[in-house]
Amino acid sequence: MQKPLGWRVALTLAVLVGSVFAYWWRGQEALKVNPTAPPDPTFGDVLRNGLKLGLDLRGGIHLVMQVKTSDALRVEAQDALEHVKDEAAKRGVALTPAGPADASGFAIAINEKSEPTKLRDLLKTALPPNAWDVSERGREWKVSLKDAERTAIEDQAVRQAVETVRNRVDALGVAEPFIGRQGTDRILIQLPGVDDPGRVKEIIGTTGLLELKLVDDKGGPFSKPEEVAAAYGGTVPQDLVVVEGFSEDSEARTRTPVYYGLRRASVITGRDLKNARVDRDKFNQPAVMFFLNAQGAVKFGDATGKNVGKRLAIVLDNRVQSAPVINSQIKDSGIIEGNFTLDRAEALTLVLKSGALPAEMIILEERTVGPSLGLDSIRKGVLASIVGMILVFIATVFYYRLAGVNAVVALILNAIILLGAMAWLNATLTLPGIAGFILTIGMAVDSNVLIFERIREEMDNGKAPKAAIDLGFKRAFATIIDTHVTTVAAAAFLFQFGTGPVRGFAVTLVIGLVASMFTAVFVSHLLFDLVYGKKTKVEAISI
Amino acid sequence: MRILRNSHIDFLGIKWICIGISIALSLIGLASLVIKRGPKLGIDFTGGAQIVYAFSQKPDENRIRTIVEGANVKIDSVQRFDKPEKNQVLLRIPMEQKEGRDIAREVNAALVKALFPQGGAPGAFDLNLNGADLLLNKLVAEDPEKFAARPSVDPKTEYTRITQAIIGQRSEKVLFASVGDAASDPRIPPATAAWLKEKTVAGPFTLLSAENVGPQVGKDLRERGMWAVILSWAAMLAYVAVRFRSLSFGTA
Repeated sequence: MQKPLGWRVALTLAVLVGSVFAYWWRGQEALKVNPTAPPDPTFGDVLRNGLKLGLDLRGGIHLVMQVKTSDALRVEAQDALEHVKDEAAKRGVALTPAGPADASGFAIAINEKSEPTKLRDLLKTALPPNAWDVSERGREWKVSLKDAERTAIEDQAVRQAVETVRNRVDALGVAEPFIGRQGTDRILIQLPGVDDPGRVKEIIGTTGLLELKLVDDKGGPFSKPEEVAAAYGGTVPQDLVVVEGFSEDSEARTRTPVYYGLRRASVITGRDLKNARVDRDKFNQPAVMFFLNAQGAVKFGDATGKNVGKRLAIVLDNRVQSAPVINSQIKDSGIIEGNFTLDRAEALTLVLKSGALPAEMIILEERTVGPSLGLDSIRKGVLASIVGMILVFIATVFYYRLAGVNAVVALILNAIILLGAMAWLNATLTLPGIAGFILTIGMAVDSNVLIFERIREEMDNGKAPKAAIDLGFKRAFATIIDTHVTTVAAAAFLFQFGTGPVRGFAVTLVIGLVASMFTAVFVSHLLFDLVYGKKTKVEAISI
Repeated sequence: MRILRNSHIDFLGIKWICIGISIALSLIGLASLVIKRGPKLGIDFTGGAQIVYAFSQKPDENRIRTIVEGANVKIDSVQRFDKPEKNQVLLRIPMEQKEGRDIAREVNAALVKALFPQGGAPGAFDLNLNGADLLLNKLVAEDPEKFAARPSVDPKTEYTRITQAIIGQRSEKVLFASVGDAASDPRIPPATAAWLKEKTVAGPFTLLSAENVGPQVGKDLRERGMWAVILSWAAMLAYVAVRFRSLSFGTA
């Protein structure tokens, strides 16, 4: 039986050349977009850039953060309560809030002076329709957000947080960052190549809420929070808030906390900012200069003009940074001092420019891999792969002689196809991915073993060598399909449920299995036919 | 070469022996699980933190433990890691019940404060702890090569190249033994080398990796792992069932 060889040789060569070309092309492409690439890349540079490396090999930071959406809900409730209070004052309706607003909403105290009909009407008209539920129960009316509205606010907060984080990461200049939403309130942030986790976490995680508030005439500063209340005869009035700050002894380099009584309503907030940059204060210390947009400048000019001689507190994330005295009307810019280091001032500038986060974020998961560990992992992984392959080669050739050489050629081709396909698909190689590569070599050689044993068996049963080869491939094929399908199934579930590095394993494994089907079954058979096919009579084969 | 010349072993003839061996092995496996109270789980499943540091000198595990515990961080174990001459230490920290504590940062701050106070001082720049970004910023700001005075060069590009030479060299070496060590690379121009020696320090340790898994993510990973195992088993069973009922016995 003479089988055609031409198209089979052509297909095998095409796959081989295609794989090598794909890898080479990807390496060139990767170098083009890499700003730090050497001007005239060497062969080795292209070779090193063919595969996209995962965070575990390249070094970098993986963070899963949670957006505290309750913050956003509380702010919403606070705003609504303020608005209702303003409206009540305008219309002359008596209204007493029963405590501050929280994430679930706010409550109104009902007493002898309350007029239920007017109140009901006020709540109906002052609040946006279809957003709030009012439950009238005895001495307290609870006003809470409807579920749909709640979900919408939470969703908006997370989306805004993703956007803000993206702005900050872009400002950091990280190449190929991944920032994406995960589930309802989580954000996944992957920053390859970043080697300074502390700084990055600070820049991403700082809320960056800037508020400028007037210090009340009797507002301190005091060294204990209770003293603020004492200054007002026991209770802090409703339109004031107590905020912590610090006083600094520049000689002793110590900071002691102090407390201010500030007007609750902010003069301006971070939303009124147009720009910010690092500057120096009068002691030549790094400080942050901010510039206001037109709207903010009007508000700021108005407030500073009316309050010359009073103190204005610069509050960042609920801490007073400084509380300078207003010397004259200021319009569109200001300076934030606070004895910053240059790095801190730069970080703060970046945070202010990118806008505040809508809510606090906390770290649920962190994985940082330093560049030297990544490099070490690559070296160990490459060494393990090479040693593993060489051992497999020796064992195969020793056990199967010339047929073993056939298997070795198939294995090398398998490795080339795998690398080429990974490069072509721009799949990410991770440390478990290297394990997947080695496992693939094992699976491929397993297929060859199945085939060779089957051929031997056929020869033992008295078949002529050439017929034995054909039968061996035919009969082993079903078994090979079985092992491959089951492994692909497992890999599919690993991909579905796994995280980054494990997914890399699944991807590498599946690509490798497809390649091993091709090399072990198709190429290996072709090699036998190339060696023995031309001869009309084959006495024996080396197996 | 062949090891098994006759591979036709009559397994069915000795089925009771085979079943016996299978049961015995399964029992040993089960017993080991009971005695050892389940497999030892990694932090992906248990939650908690694992931090690996490399030191320039042989590290003192007890001292590290004392420092970290002094910073109010609970600690499970401090172990040497990898080959002894690499001077690596692995810290295992149990999971916090409350989400969001940045353990890695706290541990780092405590170690810097205790082992290399001059590295945490204002203005000091530790080459072993800071990243490429900050080094680049500092170089551009202080401009030791006076690139800004030369119109033909872009300081940022030039310093990016220099920064990469320095950081690339650190990645190779894991950490610098001294600033002289960092400045000795031929790719670093002399003015920058002098600047490194004068303006930077090389601390006694560097962070290799930090992993911190909180309660929510730990629970998630456990559930996902379980589903992956159960579903892939189910898929394999289904495949084997379909395959050997209809096809295999038909063709054989």
